Amino acid sequence: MATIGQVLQRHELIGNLVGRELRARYKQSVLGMTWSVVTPLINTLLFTFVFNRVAAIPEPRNAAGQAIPYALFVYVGTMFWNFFAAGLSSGTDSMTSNLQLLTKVYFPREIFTLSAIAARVADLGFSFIVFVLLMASFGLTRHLIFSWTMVFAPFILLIQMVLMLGLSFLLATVNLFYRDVRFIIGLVLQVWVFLTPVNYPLSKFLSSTHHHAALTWVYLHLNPMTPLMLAYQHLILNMDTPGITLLSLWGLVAGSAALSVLVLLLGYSVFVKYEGAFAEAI
Amino acid sequence: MNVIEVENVSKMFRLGTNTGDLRDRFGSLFSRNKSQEKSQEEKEREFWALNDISFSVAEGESFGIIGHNGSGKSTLLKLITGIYKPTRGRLRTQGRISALIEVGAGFHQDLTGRENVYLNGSVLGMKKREIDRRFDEIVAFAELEKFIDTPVKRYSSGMYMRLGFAVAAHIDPDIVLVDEVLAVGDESFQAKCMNRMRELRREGRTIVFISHSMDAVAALCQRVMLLARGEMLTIGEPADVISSYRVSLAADRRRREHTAAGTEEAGPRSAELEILEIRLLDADGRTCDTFNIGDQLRLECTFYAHRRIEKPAFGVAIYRSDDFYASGVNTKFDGHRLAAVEGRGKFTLTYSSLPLLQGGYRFLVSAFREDNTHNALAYSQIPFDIVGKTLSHGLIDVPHHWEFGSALASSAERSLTEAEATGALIGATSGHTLAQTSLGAGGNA
Repeated sequence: MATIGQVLQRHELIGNLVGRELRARYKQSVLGMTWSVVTPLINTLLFTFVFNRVAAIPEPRNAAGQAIPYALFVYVGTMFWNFFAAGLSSGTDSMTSNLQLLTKVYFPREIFTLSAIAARVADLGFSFIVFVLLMASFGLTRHLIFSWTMVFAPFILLIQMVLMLGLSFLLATVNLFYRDVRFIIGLVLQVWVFLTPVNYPLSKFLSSTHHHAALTWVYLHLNPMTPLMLAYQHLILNMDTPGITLLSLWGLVAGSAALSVLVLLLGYSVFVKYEGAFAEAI
Repeated sequence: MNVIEVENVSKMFRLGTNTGDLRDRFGSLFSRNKSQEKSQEEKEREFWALNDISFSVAEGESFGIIGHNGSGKSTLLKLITGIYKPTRGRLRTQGRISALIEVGAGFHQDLTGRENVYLNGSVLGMKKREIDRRFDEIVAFAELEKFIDTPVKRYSSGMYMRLGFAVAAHIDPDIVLVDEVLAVGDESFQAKCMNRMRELRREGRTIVFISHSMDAVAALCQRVMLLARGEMLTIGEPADVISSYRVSLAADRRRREHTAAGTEEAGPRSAELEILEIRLLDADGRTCDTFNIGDQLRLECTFYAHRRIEKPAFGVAIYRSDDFYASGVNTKFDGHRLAAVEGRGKFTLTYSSLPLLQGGYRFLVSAFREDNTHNALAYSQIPFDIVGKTLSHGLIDVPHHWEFGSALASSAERSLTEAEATGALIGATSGHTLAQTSLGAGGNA
């Protein structure tokens, strides 16, 4: 187990590994970094079409009563969910994709997982730039009012990263011994996105499951991503969710934070326990 | 002060696949009182790569580890770097370690040489500032000035290796661990690598060096450890340890050759003549297969001629283990005209003082007709080994002595090591003057 100091001492290495990942990913591709914004944009168009047009889910409203363009709503969710899904996938692969380094050089093993997730932060950054452009255009054309509270969104992001790191430590370790994990996690993420209010507003879920109290409870309390998504939508879009008061929202977020910390402790303890055997598990 | 301390370290690997019940592997995390019993099957899968190894390396020392393939050298190096954790025992290191276990660790194919220097440098623990400072030096060392902005996937394997070694050689470590990387590049690059190692030694870095090149180990190391099947056999002066390594290497090879011995090695079984037995004898007449440099050696060959062969001749060649032709003599060139052989016969060839340097060799004995030296009637071979404590390199031990001017004389003994002072010569030499041939062909000669 490496101390935080030992890991921080190698921040240049983390930076270089992230740089390697990013540069290598887009080398010899014409659009390069543009791909990291094309993907969420396509997703947004697709989900807007499916949920808003086909399934006829109405546009959610903000606290001022304005309708939030469905595409903008979906873009916020997709931006953070993609970060979660991509981060978890690279986190799971962070050991197996670095076997050559793992067996030839020693530095704190945490660095592999940290830099795998850090490389995805860059993608999030790019899609956020696009979001700012979208926001500006909607603000001008539809006089949409955005909330200053979005400056608190990074705190929610922090909770999300704690959760991602915890899951990644656990999954990266198990994946070294059982490569099935990466396939399983791909499937789980595909299901998980529909069990989280990413592409549809929470109010839609609540209204269709109001007579299944247990299901609602699990959805809100045991899926740590639900309160986080809700908080992003609230803080950035000033979105109002019928049935969820501000107080209950922050209660849910606190629960999610506690759960995330618990996951990190569990994931990291598994990681530390098997860390010594990583180089042999190839 | 000791910068590496290894105390009773053992390392066990589990053989076979990594499949098992998920609950077996991860269940123990939650239940502390895991059953201590191990099934018989599980015990059989255990492989102890290292067994109870203890040694220490002092600051500034250069320490060599030698041993056969699979003796546990690389495992030991990986334990010192921290890549592996010992199964038992304690291991302590002090200072910044740079391990040249594989050059170019972490290189990315799609990145340029320049990008990879920075990446690899930080992998090996260098700060960006240090790399900036030494960048030109690194590129010059690798001789890649023209290609530094080309992606490394377009490099030849030699260029790749050179860049990898160049980066690793310019870290500022307290302890350098080197595993066989000197085997990269052409001869001039290898010489450069050796020089860099010497430089590191002069600067007072601690070096742990693993190599199959005894010349390199002898030239670089102050102390050497010999590993065999995970056990430490000896530790001490390079000359002593290297010589016992050569003895064990020779014994191993003979065991292999003995078991593999059979029809092929015996040569063509001519209908006319058969070589029955070759024996090597020392000065006291005892059968022997390992000789010291300069020892007397008698080769005794027994043959059987199935029918009368007019004007036969016999040749004896010496080959080094790498098939280098070291010497060859035959009865015809030495002026022994033999009339004829029939039935059982025998000849003896005596080398009064064999000048070969330490290493593995073999005799190739052949019989032919005097007028047809190209088609052997029969041949057979026998391996032997030369051992000795000299650090001379090459093939033969050339008698020599040194003289120094009076000013030099007092310090000469201390400043020159034996390795640097011994004249060495690589090449074949005519065995004529050194070999005495005596022929006592029996039968009807």
